[in-house]
Amino acid sequence: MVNKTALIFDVQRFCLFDGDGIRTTVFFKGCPMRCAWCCNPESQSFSPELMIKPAGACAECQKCLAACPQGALSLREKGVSVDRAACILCGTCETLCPFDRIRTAGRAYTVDEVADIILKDRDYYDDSHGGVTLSGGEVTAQADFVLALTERLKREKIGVMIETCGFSAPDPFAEIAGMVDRVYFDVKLLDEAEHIRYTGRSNKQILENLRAAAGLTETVVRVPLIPGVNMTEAFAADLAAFLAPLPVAAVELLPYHRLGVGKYRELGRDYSLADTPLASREENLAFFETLKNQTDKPVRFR
Amino acid sequence: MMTERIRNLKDFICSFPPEVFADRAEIITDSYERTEGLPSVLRRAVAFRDILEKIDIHIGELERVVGALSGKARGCQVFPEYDMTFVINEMDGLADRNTDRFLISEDTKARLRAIYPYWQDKTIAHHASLRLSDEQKDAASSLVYILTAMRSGVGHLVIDYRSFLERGILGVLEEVKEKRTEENAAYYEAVEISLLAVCAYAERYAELAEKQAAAEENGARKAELCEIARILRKVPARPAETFAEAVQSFWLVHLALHLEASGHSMSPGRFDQYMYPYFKHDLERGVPLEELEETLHFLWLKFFELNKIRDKVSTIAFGGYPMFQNLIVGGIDEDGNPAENELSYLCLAATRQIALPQPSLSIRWNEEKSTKRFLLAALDTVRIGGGMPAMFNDKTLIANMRTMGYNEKEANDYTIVGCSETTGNGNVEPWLTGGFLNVAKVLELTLFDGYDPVAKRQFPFRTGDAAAMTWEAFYAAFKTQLAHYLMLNIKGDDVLDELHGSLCPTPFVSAFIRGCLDAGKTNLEGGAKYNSTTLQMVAVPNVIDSLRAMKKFVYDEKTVSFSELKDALLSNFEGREDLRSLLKNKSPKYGNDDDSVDLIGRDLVDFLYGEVEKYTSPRGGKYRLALYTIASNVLFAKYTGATPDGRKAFDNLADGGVSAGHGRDQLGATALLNSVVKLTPTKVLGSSLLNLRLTPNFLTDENKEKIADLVRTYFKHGGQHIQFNVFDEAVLRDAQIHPEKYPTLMVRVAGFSVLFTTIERALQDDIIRRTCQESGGKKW
Repeated sequence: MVNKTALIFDVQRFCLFDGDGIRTTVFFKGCPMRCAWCCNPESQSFSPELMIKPAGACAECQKCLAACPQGALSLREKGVSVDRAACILCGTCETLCPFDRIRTAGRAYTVDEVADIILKDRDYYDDSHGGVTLSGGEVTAQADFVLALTERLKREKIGVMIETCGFSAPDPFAEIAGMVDRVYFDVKLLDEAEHIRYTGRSNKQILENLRAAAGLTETVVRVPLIPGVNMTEAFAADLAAFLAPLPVAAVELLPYHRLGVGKYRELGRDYSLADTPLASREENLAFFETLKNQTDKPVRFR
Repeated sequence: MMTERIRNLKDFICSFPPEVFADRAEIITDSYERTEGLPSVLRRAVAFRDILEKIDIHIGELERVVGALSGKARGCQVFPEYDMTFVINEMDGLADRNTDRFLISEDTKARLRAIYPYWQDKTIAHHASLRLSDEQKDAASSLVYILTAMRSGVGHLVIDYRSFLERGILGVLEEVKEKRTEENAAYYEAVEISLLAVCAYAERYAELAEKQAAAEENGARKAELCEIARILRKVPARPAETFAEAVQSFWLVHLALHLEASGHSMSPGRFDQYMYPYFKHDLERGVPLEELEETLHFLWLKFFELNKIRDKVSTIAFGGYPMFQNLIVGGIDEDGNPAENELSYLCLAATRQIALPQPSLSIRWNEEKSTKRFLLAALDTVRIGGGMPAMFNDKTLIANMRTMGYNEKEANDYTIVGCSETTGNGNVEPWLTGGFLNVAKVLELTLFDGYDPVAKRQFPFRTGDAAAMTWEAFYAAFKTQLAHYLMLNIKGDDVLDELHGSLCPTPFVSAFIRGCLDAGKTNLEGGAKYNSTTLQMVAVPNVIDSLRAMKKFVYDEKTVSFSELKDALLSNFEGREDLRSLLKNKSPKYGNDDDSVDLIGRDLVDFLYGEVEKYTSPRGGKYRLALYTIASNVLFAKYTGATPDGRKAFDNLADGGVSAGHGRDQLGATALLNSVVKLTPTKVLGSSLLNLRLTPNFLTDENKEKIADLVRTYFKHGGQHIQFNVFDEAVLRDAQIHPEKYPTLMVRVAGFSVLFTTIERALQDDIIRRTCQESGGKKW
């Protein structure tokens, strides 16, 4: 318990969009799903990863090349490139790069380390009825730590919410959901085959967990609106029908954006939705209206 | 609601640049020629009377509240008694300089040239130049500091408006008669002359209104002009009874303060408190709220119309025609009861609707006694983007007032002058212009052992070759340099303090400052009940960051040698972008809630507090520490070489006072605010000023509540002040390219707001480059 650590890639203070009041959001690294539109690709792997800004942003001083103990770095047309098989994530290049162009996404934190950062803003949570949001990656994938941290924060009387993709075994999921003030639960697709196609995983257990969450705590469903994937009348109708019997507090729609595309390059990965256009305001509104007309739940954009 | 007429009047006064006139300068020259040999205070009173008797006056056709500095709207006057040389040297360029443009006719120029010879050996600036040492002058020309009381009046006051409105000038005159002593007969005579001069000045306006009424064909306007005349025959001489009378009475006296001396930051102070009885009286007798609101709006436009001309260098540090007329609403009254009222809200609404940079609107926030509704209303005004109101924290400032020796009632009744300076209400000469000290320049002088690499000048005060020093020795050498230049600045300001008291005392103002009529001397000669002087420290955040980076790389890790750093700074990081980036990116920065750097700042504030408090001014008041910049950071930046925080030579120095360096605060607003409160706000007794930038679409209804809570917690932690820059970067960039499209685009500088297109490029860039606080902080 004391030595419990989690792989976390960011702890952001002064977050205003992940729940009530002023919050600190903890981003856990590692996710069982691989959603094609994921805007935080560094959140997916359960290992730390090197992220390198591409040519243009890099000053090409080559200090990192000379210093790398593994000789894993080279200067290519696209900037500094890393041989990820050879890299041992020792952090030498990151420390050395004066221009802040290299960083390691993800490191192990103890509960105390995360709590120390969180507690710096505790008066701000108190006055604004804010707190902490545990996000990811996938929080339930590091369930023991999440439970320990949540317990710790509860002792401090700090409110905790989570954001989850819902892909989890029922046990830790229900235990976590039962402890937190609110669950933001992602629903991407209802058709299982489609779900597997775009996320790599079945949604069977996910939907079970959604039912469980709704019975355990305040649950807000979040739906990323992805053009060509789920912005259909059929999906809106199915979603409304699925949610009808559940005590879900609200449905939040998240319009598709491409703000994470650069991070795929920094990780040396391709972005599979490169050809997907942004939805127009009218298209987003159309989906919103369609859903709103079929459900008694509050629907809003986020 | 803003009426059509107010909109038209606003459009009219914004439609042309202000103009300089020579009549005041001519009248005072003529007067001074006739009063040679009289005591200064009498000469000042006679000159003031002569000015008010003869200066051009006008009443604009849309106006209902009247009184202006010249015969034309937005006109301004020349004050040769402070400094005439800059006017003569710069007048040909006034119409097309980068900022603060003024029209000036050839006739005016000729008239000013004609009186110049008389003033050459009589001005404050002239006498100061004889008395300041070479070292003091060199330090000023290297921009180690600026002595601000060199070329203009002292200003920076809140007079006792409440007691004057209740008694009228004739009531004040009674007090003068009661308190008169033979010993200080000249002073009392001067006060009497000045007070009666203002009554006569009001008569002149009444006569003009009657004359216009006689010629007016429109019946409604005719009646209005008759009413204006009636009011001006009553006030400011006698007590005001209605809101319109109180506003007119207030304005004429406020205006007269600006004809006696050229100081700015003459602040209305707690307007919603002393005006409320008249407002309430009118509401109760059935005057429509719309009419009262329109009266208030007329006054708001009058505040905007007031103007003064500054020398070119000053327009960099104080660009955008600012007059710093701080008007503060809310808080508690002197007995500790909640003070916000309907008029407080109308003031917030007036600035929201009229959207011009004057008055400098502020609120007092009292965690126990203010309502959240009030704070949200204030944020509604913030949302329009003009940076007003600034927000002040009762908890810390009342405690600071007590520390400064004010009694409990006086502390509860504190007010704000100018940008953000904490002062007593109508009972103090706070001399908020002690000077601005460029702390980054002092660091530079320490690094180079007294040599200024920008001006290429060796100063006599040396602390040794820093290359051989340990961290402790270097930090001590820096403090030694700091103590020296702080002393030099203060001694320079003492010279000016004596000169203003002996050459340009202000008998009229002094009649409204408690203590002066008892002491028998003006506020500039130490007559006020309280006296103090503040000294402003600029670029402290850059220095904290620089010291932290030096400690890390040069002394702790030893990865950068001192000579390597020194060479890089001297060459402005030429070919050493890597070192510059290292200093900038890889060392902790103030503004991110990191004790390893913030506590250097706290230690520095402790040190400065101890040093500043050692000194007493010629008026017998203590010097006080302040951390605010106005825009002096932009001016200082042009004279300050590269610094060890990775800042390039002549690049921005930190704005505000306790704001972090541009772009250096990366972890969100809470982290910044936590850093700010580590700089011991209870020792920064003058003022500690924070700019916080947000985007307009960030301030949604939902987030507005969260920002209100953010302010509340920050104030619970002891923060003194916060003001918001709310703008869309793209809009400001576009306004730089197409200024003609944005004639009334208002932005916040530091303690004052301006029309964006009236300030110079460097200051525009300073504002644009401030860190924008976003949810979750800056992303990598």
